[in-house]
Amino acid sequence: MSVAAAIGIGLVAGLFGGMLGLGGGFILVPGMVLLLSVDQHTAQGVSLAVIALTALAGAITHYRQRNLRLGVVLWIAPAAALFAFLGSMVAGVIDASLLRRIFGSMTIAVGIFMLAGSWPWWWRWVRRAKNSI
Amino acid sequence: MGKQVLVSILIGAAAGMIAGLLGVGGGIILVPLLVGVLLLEQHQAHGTSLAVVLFIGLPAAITYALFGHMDWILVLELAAGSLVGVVLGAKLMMRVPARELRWLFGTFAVAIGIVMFLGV
Repeated sequence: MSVAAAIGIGLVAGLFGGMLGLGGGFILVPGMVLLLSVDQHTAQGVSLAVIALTALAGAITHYRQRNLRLGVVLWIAPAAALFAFLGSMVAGVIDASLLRRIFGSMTIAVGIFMLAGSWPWWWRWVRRAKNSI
Repeated sequence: MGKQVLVSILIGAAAGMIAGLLGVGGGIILVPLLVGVLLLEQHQAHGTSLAVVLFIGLPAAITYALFGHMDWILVLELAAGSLVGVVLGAKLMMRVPARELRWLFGTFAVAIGIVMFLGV
């Protein structure tokens, strides 16, 4: 049962990741914590490993389609790797409930950011409703 | 040249720090910055972001594992679902309108974020 749930969570995360090009971790971590009762730290560690595997497959596909700027990767990757290590060290020493609160607030921020980007869509509906009155 | 390299390093540092701390890939920061600051095209930004995410995910996952915060069986189960989902998602992307998708994901993220914050 939990195997099916895990594959299902992975599927939803992959779907959004493939469609939006992001969002994998923001589905994987809450999915594991809320549905599989995995503790916050382990959920984040597992999420990172899954994302690394998925990114490897995605990066190879994009490289073949020449959608990958190797020069840019070369300059960003070393700093990204170093600070990913530092961020993980910070997460490792933080208390689980605080880590969960940090994760929750960042997820809300990401949601607002996404909603702000899609705002013209529902605004059009509001205007249409107004005009029809 | 020098300015662009410095900006690249700063983008990498910000994405890596947040990704490591939250256990996410960092694409949410990388893609907009690659498009907005380094002026990459959208599809190039996606491909480049994925390559950077690989270099974020590996050291971060190893660090979590060293702290004892890892479950490799669960990694395999989720990765199996995720790889299928990514392929399906890439095909569906042409049919589902991007705005509605962002709206759906945004609403979902705010709701989940509140639940996670309150620790229900």
